Amino acid sequence: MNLTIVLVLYFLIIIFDFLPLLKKDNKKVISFYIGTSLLTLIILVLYSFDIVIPSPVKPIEDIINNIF
Amino acid sequence: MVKEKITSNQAIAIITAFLFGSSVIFGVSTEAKQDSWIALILAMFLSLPIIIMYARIIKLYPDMGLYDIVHQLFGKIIGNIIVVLMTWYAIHLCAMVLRNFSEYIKITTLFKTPEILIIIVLLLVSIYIVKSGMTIFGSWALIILPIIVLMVVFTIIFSLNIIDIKNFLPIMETKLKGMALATYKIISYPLTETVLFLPLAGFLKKKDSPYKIYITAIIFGCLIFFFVMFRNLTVLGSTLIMETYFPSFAATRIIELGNFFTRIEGAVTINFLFAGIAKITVCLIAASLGISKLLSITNYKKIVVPTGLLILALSTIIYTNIIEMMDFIEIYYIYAFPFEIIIPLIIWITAEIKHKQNKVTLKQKT
Repeated sequence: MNLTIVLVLYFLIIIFDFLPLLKKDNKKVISFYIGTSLLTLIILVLYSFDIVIPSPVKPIEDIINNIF
Repeated sequence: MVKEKITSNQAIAIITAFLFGSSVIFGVSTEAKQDSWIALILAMFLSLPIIIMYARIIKLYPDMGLYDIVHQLFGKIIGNIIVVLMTWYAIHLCAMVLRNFSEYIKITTLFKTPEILIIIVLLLVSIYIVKSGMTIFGSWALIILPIIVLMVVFTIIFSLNIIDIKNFLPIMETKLKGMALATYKIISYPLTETVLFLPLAGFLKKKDSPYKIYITAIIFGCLIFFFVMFRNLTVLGSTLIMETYFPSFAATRIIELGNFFTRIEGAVTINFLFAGIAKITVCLIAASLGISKLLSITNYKKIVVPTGLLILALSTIIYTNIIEMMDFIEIYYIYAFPFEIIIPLIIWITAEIKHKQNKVTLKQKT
């Protein structure tokens, strides 16, 4: 279910936001767009398969707990 | 320089709605138990110097957002480090609010709906608002703010038959240390989270006073928090508030007028929905502006969607369950300190020094 939701979201984003941008925009925007989309797609697909990805909050929590 | 402009009333509405964010549903800190209202009043007054500091930064550099200001003050390298830190804070806070929202909806209403769907729907609304422009966001905030306030007032009126004023007693039981901690927690979450409005300061009109905008929003926000706290404390009592994750939901759930007017907790959900969207939108704009500054992209709207995707991914992996979420909220006030106080303080002191130097140079020239 989660995987379907993620794939539909990315499909809609590509159709309605990315393709119109591709026609007119500079390389910086497109590179950032593709890079971020791929990274987040990997994370979300892993999440859909219930694979636990380490939270960035954990190290923050550990640092604060060690100090205080 | 930003072309889109918002009026001072729109800015006040945005900051107030931002303040309500998740606090409408979680309530502000109840560390001081029945004395929480004293902590709230203290927090309001003690946060004013910090809020005035934020306003002063805007006043010194009108027509500029925080990221432009730090670049002008510190140059590209240190400026970019500060932009990265503030952008991370915006992304993280946005992910936290989204997760708060999805956990709330999952626990109270949509038990079987995938959490990711709730997050996506909320995020898409915010992305649409950002893409529509700052003026539209300001107008939207002006419309939703009276609705939020009315909902709070109505829930208080409807709960009059079940409130117990004795829940405020004994007064001043909390020791000084506990009161100080409770006060600081309220200052940190949510009062000084308004630091994230600084990147949006470029949207303000030059003639509008940032002091008036910030102070009015904080005082008005605290007034509403006071009403929310009054309702939650008198209906539930401090012990029950400490035991529940969503005190506002629990308090309104037991409101019943006769046998026909029940299930008023939906009003709290509507409030959370509106205020949550406002908070997410502010964070999303702050994050997009930060990334566009780092990558030298002129139009931040072009990168709103990928920024939203980053926030979506973070919100799904940030906590594994609500207990982890509540644990992090407990240490959030320490984590937020550098972003809310130290960084703005450094910016303000540097801005004052440079401003004085510029004045002296101008005088010498004339």
